[in-house]
Amino acid sequence: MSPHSLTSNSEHRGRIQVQGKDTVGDPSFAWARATPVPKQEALVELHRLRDDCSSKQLALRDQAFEKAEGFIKDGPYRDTPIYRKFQNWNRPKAHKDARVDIEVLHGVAFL
Amino acid sequence: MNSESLEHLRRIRSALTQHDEERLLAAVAALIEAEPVNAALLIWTRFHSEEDRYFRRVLAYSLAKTATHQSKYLWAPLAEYVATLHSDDEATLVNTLTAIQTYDERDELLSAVLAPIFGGFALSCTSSGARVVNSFCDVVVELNHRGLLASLLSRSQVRSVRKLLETFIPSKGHSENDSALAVLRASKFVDILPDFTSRLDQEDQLLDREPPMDLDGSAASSLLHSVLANARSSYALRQQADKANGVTQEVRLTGSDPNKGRLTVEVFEKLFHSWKTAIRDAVQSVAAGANSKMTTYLLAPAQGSFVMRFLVETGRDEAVAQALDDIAELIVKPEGLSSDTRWSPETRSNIVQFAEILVQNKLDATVGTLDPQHFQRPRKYIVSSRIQLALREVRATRQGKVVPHQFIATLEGANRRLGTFEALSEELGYVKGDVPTNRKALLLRKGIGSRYNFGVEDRVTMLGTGEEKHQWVLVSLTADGGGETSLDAKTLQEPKALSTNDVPQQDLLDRIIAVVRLLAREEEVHPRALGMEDDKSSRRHIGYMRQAARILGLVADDGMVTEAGRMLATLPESRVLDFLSLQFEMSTVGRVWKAWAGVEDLLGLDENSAIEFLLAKGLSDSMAKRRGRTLRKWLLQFKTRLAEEVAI
Repeated sequence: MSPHSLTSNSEHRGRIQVQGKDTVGDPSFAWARATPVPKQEALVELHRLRDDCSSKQLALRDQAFEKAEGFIKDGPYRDTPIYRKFQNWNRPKAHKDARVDIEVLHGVAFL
Repeated sequence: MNSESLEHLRRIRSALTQHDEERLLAAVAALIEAEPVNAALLIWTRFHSEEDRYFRRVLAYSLAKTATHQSKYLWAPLAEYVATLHSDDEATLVNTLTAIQTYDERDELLSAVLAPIFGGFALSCTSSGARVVNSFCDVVVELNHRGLLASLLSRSQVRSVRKLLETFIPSKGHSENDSALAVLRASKFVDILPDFTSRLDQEDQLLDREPPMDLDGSAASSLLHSVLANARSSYALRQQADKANGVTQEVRLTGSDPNKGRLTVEVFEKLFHSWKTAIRDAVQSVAAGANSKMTTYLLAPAQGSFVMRFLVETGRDEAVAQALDDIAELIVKPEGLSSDTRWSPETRSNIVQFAEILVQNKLDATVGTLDPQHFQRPRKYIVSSRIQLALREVRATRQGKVVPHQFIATLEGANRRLGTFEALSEELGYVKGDVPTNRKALLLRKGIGSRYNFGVEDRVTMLGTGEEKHQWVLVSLTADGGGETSLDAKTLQEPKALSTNDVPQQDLLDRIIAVVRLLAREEEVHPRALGMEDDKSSRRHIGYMRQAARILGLVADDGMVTEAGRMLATLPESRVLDFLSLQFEMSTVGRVWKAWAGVEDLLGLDENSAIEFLLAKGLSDSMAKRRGRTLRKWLLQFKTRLAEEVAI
């Protein structure tokens, strides 16, 4: 079972994912583990995903990353499943799917 | 839908039944993977009435997930979700916001179904915790970019939302809140949101032409139509409120019966009456001083007609259907009411009342009765202008008869001035009637609480409506042949002498009444039961009370309560003084005093002559002074009462 599988039996599960047709393989940070993902670790992983973006990709998602960071900082999240999608407000039509997703499927996240 | 999806749906049902959250999420997630476009719709159509809190959150999650894949019908569960959202679950609110933000395939229709409810939803979101507020702000800016916000929020709604947002202090790193406030301050919002009814009608027709075959067929179609109908109803209600310069309130009931589209008439009446009164009181309290006339209407589901539907559960008896048909026919032809003895006077009276309300309010009605065997029977058309004359004639129709009665009864009350009497008999129960002027003398020298032989006429007037009016008229009143000696008999032997035992020395009548009531209940007459200290003085006073009760004929020489005493114990406070004045008038001391003064009744006695009277009857000076004060007090109370109402 993949670590970000929706049906994993691990206590704490979720993922942060960069989405859009300009990305290859939807880079992500997924977790399925016995202890909650700490806020700090999630922020480090979010920054890694942001740093891995090309300048063009980042230009389409700079506000999205900023909002996603705020969402993580607002943690912890105990009521699950919860799903948020972050996008730039002004994005070209051709890239309207450019976004950053955070979903907490089970357990607690961003403690 | 393939067999794999069906299996996932079956697992969802099973997990729901067993309240297994882990399995429920797994089954929903599996269905989302199998049906990325329709998963949320499939779950919604199958389990839309499921109220489980966790399930609602998971369904909102599935809406958010599938919204990305642009489903043709996602507007429907989204609208229903927003309308029925219980705002105490942050995750559900966040998931719903994500779904609204993501679903941008059919913005015009989404606006049409969301507009009536989005303002309330916005206030729920802005009144929630920081995480919901931040998500809501993000969605506000997004909707503004899509050009939807001005169709979803009116100027006054924006003002309320802005007020809440301005008091909210976001945590660091959130630009959504400032951006949302900027949008809400800068954008132009209208006072009244546009009416999207025609867009809803258009979608209704489209659904009829192209039903959602990829979903659950007719079930899904019906749910989609119902979401459109709810939205349409909201626009219609707003229009009504706007026209009447008023406010509408919708109370939607859910539960076993309402979910079947019915409610027992008794429950409806109680709910309707209490809420109607609460509404009026509330409105009057805020509109006090405005001097405005208030009219409260009951609204039909749609304009054009008002239908009341009754379901009578009787085991499908055809006779019942026929009866319902027949009473409706009586309204169409009210002239048949007077002669139709098939129905009780009460039933006929209610039928007339119903018809008169129609006439008074210029309402016409069509009554249709339906039973499973005959299906729809011919409808009855009631035209108020046509029945008006016949109803008037029915009201004017009167028939009279006189039924004589002879019975033994207790005289419960009488008023010679007003010409009324009250009697309690075993045969007829409680009878209250009139005493004609030429027979008022019948009441003279009669005692309340005594038994008499009554001759009474029951004058019955039968109205064309079926109502009967009874007037009881006293014809004769004579002493009962057996049983207790009436006061008439007692009065034949007028006493001349007066002993000290016949003169009371307890001036507080209420104390005497309390003692008699205790004795009538066979309870001990203890000082504490009378609110007195338990000492020698109290016991002596209780002795005076017993003596006074005996003088008034309420207690016998052996200390037992007499029938008059029992009667006193059952009388309401308002009648007690009448009763005691009569007992006093018939007592030895009362009669000797009247004879001494040469008067016929208590009103002729002078209370200030009490001491002189007692001295004249041989009581010692000190005793006459002491007991004279008691007599004076009693007489004053009786005369005051008698001056109000001359009773015998």
